[in-house]
Amino acid sequence: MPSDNGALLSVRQLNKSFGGIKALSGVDFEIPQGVLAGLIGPNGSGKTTAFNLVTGVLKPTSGQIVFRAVDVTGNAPERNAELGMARTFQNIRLFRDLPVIDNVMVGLHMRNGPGFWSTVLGLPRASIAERNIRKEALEALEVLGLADKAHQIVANLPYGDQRKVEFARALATKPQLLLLDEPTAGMNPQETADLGKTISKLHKDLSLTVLLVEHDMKMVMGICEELTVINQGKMLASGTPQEIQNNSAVIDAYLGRRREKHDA
Amino acid sequence: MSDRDTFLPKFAALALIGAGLVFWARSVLDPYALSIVMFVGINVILAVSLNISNGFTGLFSLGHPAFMTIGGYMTAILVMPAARKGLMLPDLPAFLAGQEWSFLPALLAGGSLSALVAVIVGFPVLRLRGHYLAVATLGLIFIVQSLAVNLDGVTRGALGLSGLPSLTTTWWVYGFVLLTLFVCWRLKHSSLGRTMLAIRENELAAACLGVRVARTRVFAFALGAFFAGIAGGLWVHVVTLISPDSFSFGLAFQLVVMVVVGGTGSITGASIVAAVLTLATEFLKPVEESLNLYGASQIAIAVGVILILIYRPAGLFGTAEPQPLNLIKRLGSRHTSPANSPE
Repeated sequence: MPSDNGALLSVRQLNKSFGGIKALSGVDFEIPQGVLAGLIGPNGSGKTTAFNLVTGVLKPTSGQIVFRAVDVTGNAPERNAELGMARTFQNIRLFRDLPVIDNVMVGLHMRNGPGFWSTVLGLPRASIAERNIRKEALEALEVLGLADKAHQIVANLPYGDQRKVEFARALATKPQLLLLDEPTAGMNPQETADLGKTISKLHKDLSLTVLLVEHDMKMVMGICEELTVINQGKMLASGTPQEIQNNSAVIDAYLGRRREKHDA
Repeated sequence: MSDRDTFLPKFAALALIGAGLVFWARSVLDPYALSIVMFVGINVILAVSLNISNGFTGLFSLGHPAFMTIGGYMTAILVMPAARKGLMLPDLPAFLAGQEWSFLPALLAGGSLSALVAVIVGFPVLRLRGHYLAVATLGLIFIVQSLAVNLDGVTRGALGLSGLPSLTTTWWVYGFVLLTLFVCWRLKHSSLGRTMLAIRENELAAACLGVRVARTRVFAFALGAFFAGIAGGLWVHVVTLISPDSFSFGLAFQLVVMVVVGGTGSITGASIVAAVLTLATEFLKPVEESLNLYGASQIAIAVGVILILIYRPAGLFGTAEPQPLNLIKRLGSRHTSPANSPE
């Protein structure tokens, strides 16, 4: 259900202040349906804030967010999840004391979960729903190669696997837009490369629109089709990885250039 | 997966065994001992239902006594014979004065009123977290108490309602224990119950997965309040008396202890600890009297709680439900069983 101009998500003139600090001012970007897009910028540039505003975790000070042609500005995260946004977190937020599969099954409640009465009365509807939830959760785990760890307590998994569980959990909500907040944070180069492959594979296989916040430039330049760069809460540039790599403003602020050249 | 399919027959078998025990108890025990059995059952209802909010959903509520007071008054007023109401509560509003309900619908009405109050109070109060929520629910106890004192047309003020019929029997208590256990067990092992645990574990992540956090929290709070209201109705028809301070902060503390010691989220744990604590308090009373050490049992219990919180901070059972059958199986074949129980 693309909006009038074909974008799945459009963010217009987004502002967010925390007290006197302007975290974001006048940020605009659009993510067309089916694109793997990246949001990059130096530390503290407001990437995670932008994520939190889009998903509804924070309310914007002003500006507009349109998702699937619906104005979702200031929506609660629950509502945005229902509309088809799913996200992962920079610092992993799993249901730590629950088994891996239960973590994923929570993601399936929204679309498949039976209500209180059919649950308590044990109606056939409830047991069918429960069986489907379990089946789909296992499928989501299989996509990420975690099916054999389904019954382990999530807190006992290695870090990389925990990231993947977060991923599977997000996929279980059947999102239109998957927002990944620094998925490779804390991973070694091998794990980073593997995850990059997984992301582009999911993007292709499920024709999923993905917005990726990432620091690993090699990965971003390798898999993203479109990039938005922000710096100190302001828009810096947007375009294809190629364009971004050659954009002098981006190079100055972020990618860096050799000092002699800069002075010259 | 498989224990879901065998849940009903298992529950029915356990319920039958329990019914046999109740039958046996009724034929051999004297009325005083039977009243202790009833308090054990009522405390199991209270602890297990408090576990829905405090254990599953991670809402630290102290509000159970408030809901017991509401349920207790509601039930008492509804079952009281109309003639007696005329004498005891001459100022009762007309729509209540003529009512003379039988025990079951009156209990359910008491529970429902408690749940309704929980919903109304829940939306503002459950925005609070942690200690703030505990303090707010503590405040609820005092608000309800002072309403009970001051609405003397309905409650007869500080005098309370005395001489209530002793309608509660071990069978009534047992029936509601079964209902509470059944509902909580089903809930915990369902998709809805998983969303509650998810809220407890990480509220923001749950919200981003589409879990209706506010609604689920209020629901958990109200469901607990429903059973607390029923337990209040049962309680006052054991002791045949209700006054504004029948259910107070001390009781809230005891109930929280039962949940915390049993394991936040464990139905089995809460039930066992509720039963043990009730019996211990009762049996230690004569010991205290003979030794002239009044209050020693409370101190002993408090020390026990502290020790458990130091050495097993998740409570005796954590969130798990120990399964005696699985335990035997696991002992039989250690290598084949999957490590799916954190216990």
